Amino acid sequence: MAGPETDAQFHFTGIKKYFNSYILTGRMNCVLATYGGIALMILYFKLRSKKTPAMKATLTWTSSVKFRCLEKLMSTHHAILNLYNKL
Amino acid sequence: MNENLFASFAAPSMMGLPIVVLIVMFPSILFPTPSRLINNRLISIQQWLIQLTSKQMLAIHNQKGRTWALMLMSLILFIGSTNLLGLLPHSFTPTTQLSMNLGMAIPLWAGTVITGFRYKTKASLAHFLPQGTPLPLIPMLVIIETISLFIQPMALAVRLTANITAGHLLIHLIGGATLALINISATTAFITFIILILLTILEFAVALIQAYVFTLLVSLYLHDNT
Repeated sequence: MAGPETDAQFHFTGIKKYFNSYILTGRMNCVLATYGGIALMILYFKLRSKKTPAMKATLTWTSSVKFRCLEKLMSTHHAILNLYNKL
Repeated sequence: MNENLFASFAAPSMMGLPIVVLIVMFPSILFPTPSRLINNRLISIQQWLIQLTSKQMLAIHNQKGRTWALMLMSLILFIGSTNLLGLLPHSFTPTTQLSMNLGMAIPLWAGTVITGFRYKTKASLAHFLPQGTPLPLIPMLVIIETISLFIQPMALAVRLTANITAGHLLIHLIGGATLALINISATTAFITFIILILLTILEFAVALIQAYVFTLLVSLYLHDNT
């Protein structure tokens, strides 16, 4: 059974001292690192933007002042045309 | 025929009121409480049986694990007596209901896991990675061990439900076949009747074994966490 008495026979250096599959601390850290990695992956996929660059460019253009002025000009032009056709 | 096959597993009610609670409480009446230092024969046999079972089951546990003695003994007595009473004709067996078995398995399993995480956090977390695992396999094995941990209560409950339900269904089917064959061929009916007798003896054994297996597994989960 793993425990402090069996852990004493292993001597690791560097990062292996904290992340290995032999001693209790190493195993615990590997497990926590795996869970942390999974949590980070879930967080990344949740928070990343679902819009493509083309959609982003379109949305930026449609919300700009130039586009709004153009839109107003076109609607005025259509209104004048309709009035003219009625007359 | 198909409708009658599962009719015995429906929750019983009397005049519109559910009596399943009374049925669940009934086995406790069959175990008299010892009131004297030296009791009568029935209570003495009961005490001897409980002592035999508890000594065998609690031998592997340390001081902390032995605090669960009453819980484990009550569990094995309850499941064993419920399963045996269910072998009586036309009786309802509560342990055929998955809801009831999940209600027993999940709290007991969760209790052992929470005990382990509370008193031995490092060892409980390290338990998710078997010793000596090669480096590339570590993430996969951690995920597999986590899944296997959460499957434990489901397996406990489904094992008991499936075994008892399957046994009762078989008895029902073979009993029906015996009755149907009496008018057709007496010899075949006799053979089927012998099979029914053997199956009933098997079901007596399964009733006690399943109670023991359920309790033993809870005891093992406790041992891993204490």
